[in-house]
Amino acid sequence: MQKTFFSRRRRQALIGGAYILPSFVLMFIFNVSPIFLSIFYSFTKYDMTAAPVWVGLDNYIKLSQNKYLGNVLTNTVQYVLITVPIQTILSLLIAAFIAGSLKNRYGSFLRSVIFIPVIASLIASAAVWDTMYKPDGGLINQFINLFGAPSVNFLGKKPTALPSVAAVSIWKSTGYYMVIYYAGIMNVSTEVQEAAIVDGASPIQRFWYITLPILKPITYMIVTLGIIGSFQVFDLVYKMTGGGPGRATLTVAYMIYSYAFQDKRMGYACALAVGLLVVILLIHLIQTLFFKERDAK
Amino acid sequence: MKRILATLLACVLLLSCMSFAAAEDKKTLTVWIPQYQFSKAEDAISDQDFWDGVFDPFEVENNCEVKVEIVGWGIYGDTFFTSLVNEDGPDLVYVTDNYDLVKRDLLLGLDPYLTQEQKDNVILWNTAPENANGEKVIVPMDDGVAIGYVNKALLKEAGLDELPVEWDAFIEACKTIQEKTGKRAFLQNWGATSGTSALMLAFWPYYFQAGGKMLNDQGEIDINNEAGLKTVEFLKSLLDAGIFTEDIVTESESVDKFAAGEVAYIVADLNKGNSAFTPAGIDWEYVFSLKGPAGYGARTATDSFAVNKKTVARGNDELAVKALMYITSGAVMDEFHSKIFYLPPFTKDASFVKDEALYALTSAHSEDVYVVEEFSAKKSFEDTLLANIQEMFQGNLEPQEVLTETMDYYNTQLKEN
Amino acid sequence: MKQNLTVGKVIGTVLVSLFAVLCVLPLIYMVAVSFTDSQSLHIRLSDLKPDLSNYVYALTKRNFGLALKNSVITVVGSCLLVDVVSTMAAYGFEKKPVPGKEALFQGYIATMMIPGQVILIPMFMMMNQAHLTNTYAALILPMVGAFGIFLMRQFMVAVPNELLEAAEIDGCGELRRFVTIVIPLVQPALITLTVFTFNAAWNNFLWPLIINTRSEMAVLPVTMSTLSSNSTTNYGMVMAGATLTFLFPFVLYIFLQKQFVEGIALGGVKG
Repeated sequence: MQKTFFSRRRRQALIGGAYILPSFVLMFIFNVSPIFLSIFYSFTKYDMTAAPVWVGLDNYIKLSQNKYLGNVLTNTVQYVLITVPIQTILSLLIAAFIAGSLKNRYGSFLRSVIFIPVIASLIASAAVWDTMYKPDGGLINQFINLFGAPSVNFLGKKPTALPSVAAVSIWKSTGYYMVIYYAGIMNVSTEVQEAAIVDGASPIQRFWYITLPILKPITYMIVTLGIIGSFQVFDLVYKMTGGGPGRATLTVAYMIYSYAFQDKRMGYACALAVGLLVVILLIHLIQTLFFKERDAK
Repeated sequence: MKRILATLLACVLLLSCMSFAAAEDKKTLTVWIPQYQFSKAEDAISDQDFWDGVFDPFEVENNCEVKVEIVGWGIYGDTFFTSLVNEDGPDLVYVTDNYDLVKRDLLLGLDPYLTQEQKDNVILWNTAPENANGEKVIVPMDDGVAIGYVNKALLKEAGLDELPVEWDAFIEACKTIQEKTGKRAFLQNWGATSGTSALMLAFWPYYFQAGGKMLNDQGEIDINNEAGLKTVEFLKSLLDAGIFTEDIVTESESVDKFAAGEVAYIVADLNKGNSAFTPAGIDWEYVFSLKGPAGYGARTATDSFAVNKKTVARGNDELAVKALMYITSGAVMDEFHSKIFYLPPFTKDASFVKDEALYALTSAHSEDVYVVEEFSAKKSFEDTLLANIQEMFQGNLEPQEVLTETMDYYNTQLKEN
Repeated sequence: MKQNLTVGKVIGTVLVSLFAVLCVLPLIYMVAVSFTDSQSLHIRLSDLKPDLSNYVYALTKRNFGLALKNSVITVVGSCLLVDVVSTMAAYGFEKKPVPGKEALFQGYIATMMIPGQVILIPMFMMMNQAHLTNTYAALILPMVGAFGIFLMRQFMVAVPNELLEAAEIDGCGELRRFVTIVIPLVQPALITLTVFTFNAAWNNFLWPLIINTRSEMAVLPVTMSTLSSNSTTNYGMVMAGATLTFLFPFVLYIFLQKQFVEGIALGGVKG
């Protein structure tokens, strides 16, 4: 009995392994080994044609002297500070309102409509918004001109360029997060809600004290996704600004791309990519601690 | 159950077919050419149709198949280098920046395949870059100067007979034009997202007019010099005079504005007059270039045709060189220049000249045409310079800082060592 | 109090409706401009006529038909591959006593933090050495990721072990159990995963741009970005390209709206 149990278990383990194997192969080849290769390349000089040449810490030393990294970091922080709060709060408010007051066909129609930008491709969205931002006859400026105000050069001026790019990102992701929040709110048990109503809690109180705490894991996820996404903005910048004006919209992803595929300096680009990985892991760590601490309170 | 298995099987088959489809034993030549037909008119022959037609007799004569792929400019620079690194890149390719290709020995040395007569036929043959064996690796084509266009009607409205071309006088004239007509005097594509395309028209010509040399004695790019400073100060003075505004950094459509009669002067490629401005009803004429402290100066860039070195392993090298010489022959290029896109002849057996006035003008100024040279990490250098000039237009950098910052960054971060 | 509530409701409804309008306005503008033949953006209402020339041009002269085909093949291939591989893995992780599986699973999860740019360059070199450039495989194979496996495992928990054991006692074979019991039970999750994979594969830009350089292997977003040239932009044409890129997912969305929205919601709440 004992013996057959073990052999059965072993058999099951083997079968299980067979189920996992395809994912393991693909994950190993396309997700894991590239990380180590990236780290390896980051210590080399490598141009895609000749074999990589070991240069030790050269790329990292160079990177530490790159004066525009500061710009890029500032841009990213600004980008996060614009997109993450707005898209999170906006999607939460819309979801809460529709879930609370528009539980009808119109409400579900609005949800469907607000979701539409999610399915548009970033590169097409960038082209459309680029056209709308044109100082000379773009839709937004035509609208502004209606009120007699002069055209604004959205993508051409430093103060407006980054927020204008961020707006596209908000436009594209609010629907996505709204749907997630909506589902989260619908999951809040009605009994708790009803008990609160009996206790005389106003809708706002109910939202604040019941719904919001329950939505915390979702919020955590949305904020995390938003931050990670902001570090990787590429398509929008590539299509709309090329990093300009000046360096107002330059991002790490765009820099990696230009070092690697414009200059063919794979080693240096990999060093930058590894740096990005470290920063993201750090942020993740800080964020986890922050949410944990808040939990403890 | 069956369904799943069938799906899985289909998946595997699909993937394997896709990966190994390339292994066929037949002489097929792949050719990469960028899009040059910008006309949407019904009767305008497309690049694809044009080149397919051109290669029909070649295919019969050499018993091969030629596959022409037209690649859009929007991504051309991004993809042709990686395609040459790829194992399945094109055999014959149109090349824009050749520095990395030459340096990394990705192009076939052409000398062994060509007769002296064939070499002599290419006007710019002697200037073409060489590989380590001293063999030329490209057939350079003159892709034409960037030339000035002036709107005569606006000039007249401002009370000017002709556009003064000396820098200072030009600024004054621009001011007059803006005052009298209320239209923009001068527009440049400072808002292009690519540094290369912006500087082609908006920086290098002035740098040459100021007497600047791109490469120093070591063959490295250096613009932090007197000519560089004069150039950037000139751009700044255009800003200070209100001719450029900080707005110009997104108005990359200067050609469209000129065609709409909203700008008095622009610099553009030499096709635009006949192909865009005349049809738009603009009364325009050529201006060779402005005239800086060192005289006139226009830039040209030499794009080129080359053969992928990996073609040798495919046994296609002779055929590819043959195709290269065929498409760069006068007969084919005359066709191309007359039907698709006009450029000056670049082989001696070519004769098609579209615009006699332009030809006369560029011939008279042949001493004033400068080539934008190739160097390491050129694209990122140009992106950096563009970004710094944009910073200057936004009031964040002074002219000297533009040069210092650009060269510092290039020397410490971009350049290969 | 009641009065206040209704006023709030009206204002809220108006605001949310306005936002909904903002969401679709750019897309309406995109379609409108795609019917104009204009190099300047001063578009008057009179320019808007049913002029299909931009579409004809894009489809006949700029390879959009081919790109559409490539995009569809890539998306279908990606969805199939991701669904099959993720479900299998999730089943193995959740229901089988594989030694060391939790550690491996944690390893998978950790890869979700890796920014795409980090693996871009080595992956390009690997594909190149494996002679997979300019293939569908190059676009499809890297679509498998930790997210799908994680998502499927969340749902796999709900598959009752008793059911599987009972089936086994009844003599139902391993594969048959997986196909006839497990897959139907996790079907909602599969739809979710398909939606996610569809969205990601359809909109992928940088990777296809780098890896599939031949125009006959280009996908829609890449072909779309070839439409702009250095010196002039025909906005109508670019917008027609953008519309073509948008059209297919949009039509799908109209028909599978519920699956899209619920899929994303399920993924978000569970994930």
